[in-house]
Amino acid sequence: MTDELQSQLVKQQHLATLGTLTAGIAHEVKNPLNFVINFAQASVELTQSLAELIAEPNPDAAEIAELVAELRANAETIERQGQRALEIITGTLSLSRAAAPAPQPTDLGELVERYSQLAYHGVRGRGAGPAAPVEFELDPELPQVAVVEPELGRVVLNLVGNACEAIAASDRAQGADPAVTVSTRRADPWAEIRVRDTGPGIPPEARERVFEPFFTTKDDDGTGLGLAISRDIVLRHDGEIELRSEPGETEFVVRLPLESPERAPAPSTR
Amino acid sequence: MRTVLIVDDEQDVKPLFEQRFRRQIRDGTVHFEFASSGAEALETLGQSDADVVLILSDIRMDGMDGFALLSEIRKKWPPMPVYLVTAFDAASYREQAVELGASGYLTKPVDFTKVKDLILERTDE
Repeated sequence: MTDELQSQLVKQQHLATLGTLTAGIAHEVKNPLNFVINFAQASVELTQSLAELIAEPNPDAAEIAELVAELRANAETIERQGQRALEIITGTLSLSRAAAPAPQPTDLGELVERYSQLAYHGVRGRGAGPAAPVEFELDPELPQVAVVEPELGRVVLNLVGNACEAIAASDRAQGADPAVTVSTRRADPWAEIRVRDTGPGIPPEARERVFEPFFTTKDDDGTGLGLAISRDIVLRHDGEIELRSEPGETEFVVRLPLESPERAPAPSTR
Repeated sequence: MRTVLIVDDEQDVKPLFEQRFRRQIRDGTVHFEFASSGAEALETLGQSDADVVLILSDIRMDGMDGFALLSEIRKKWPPMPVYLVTAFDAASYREQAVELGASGYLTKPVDFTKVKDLILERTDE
């Protein structure tokens, strides 16, 4: 394969990831935007009530003050929900930036949950809908881990996206009880992320090859780069990625070092 | 007092309904109760003095979602009017709502003109 073709394909996979991401963002951003719309509408109604009140011969000052306070609260809510929408967009769109930022101490559970939801809704948005939402078993005690968030997010996006597609496939095949479970736990010296699905499983002959670039089991729309890139990202984090699969169950385990010696945390200044 | 129960895990729905129904709340036409989860909604419904005449429930919530809540309500209080509300309109959602016996299906952002008609229809004498 020529370098040019390879870089073309890498770009394609990147765009595919972005497509999933965009569908996910479009989904997540709806909730805050709906509040923005509804609170703006409520504020218009409030100004009408205020105008009526003021036009009365003896306006009730206390009631006017109450309505003004509510208008103010609405504006604050609109700002807060707008910020929330912005955070959803900026937090995830950083994936499309070229340069990788330095690893930052990160709440893995929060990251895993957020990108899993994006993956789930991305797959649903493409009409390959998994029948069951992603279930989480997150260890609340897991310490922060130094990762490049958009990169590790992409790993979660790929793994959970695959898992959601797998249960959709098995759902069509046999109507079993489909589930995707994403868990985190501490397994010294690692922090572990496990993505498990009850899809049809990966055939033995394919198991050894899934991390190879351009290897794909998907009929038409797979570039075969999702897992290769995921593995690359995990290795760059000094971690490991492992696959366990049997008929009816597939599990990917990502292990990230809890502490990397060369990046020891800076001493606290407080 | 005729109560409308709003079930949504987003706290901001409370001021929204209180503002849009300011007049009706003040003159006692309608009373709102808010539950932030399916479990909380069932608890409210189980209280002996609950005079709930209408329920509007969000679909996507942690724990018990709107569909599960609807199923529970259909078991315990079969005639209760329950409307499902969602920001994530999908054919499968609509089908499931019909299958489980929802009284109706609304999308977010909520059209308060519609909701007002719906609520006042159930609470007006």
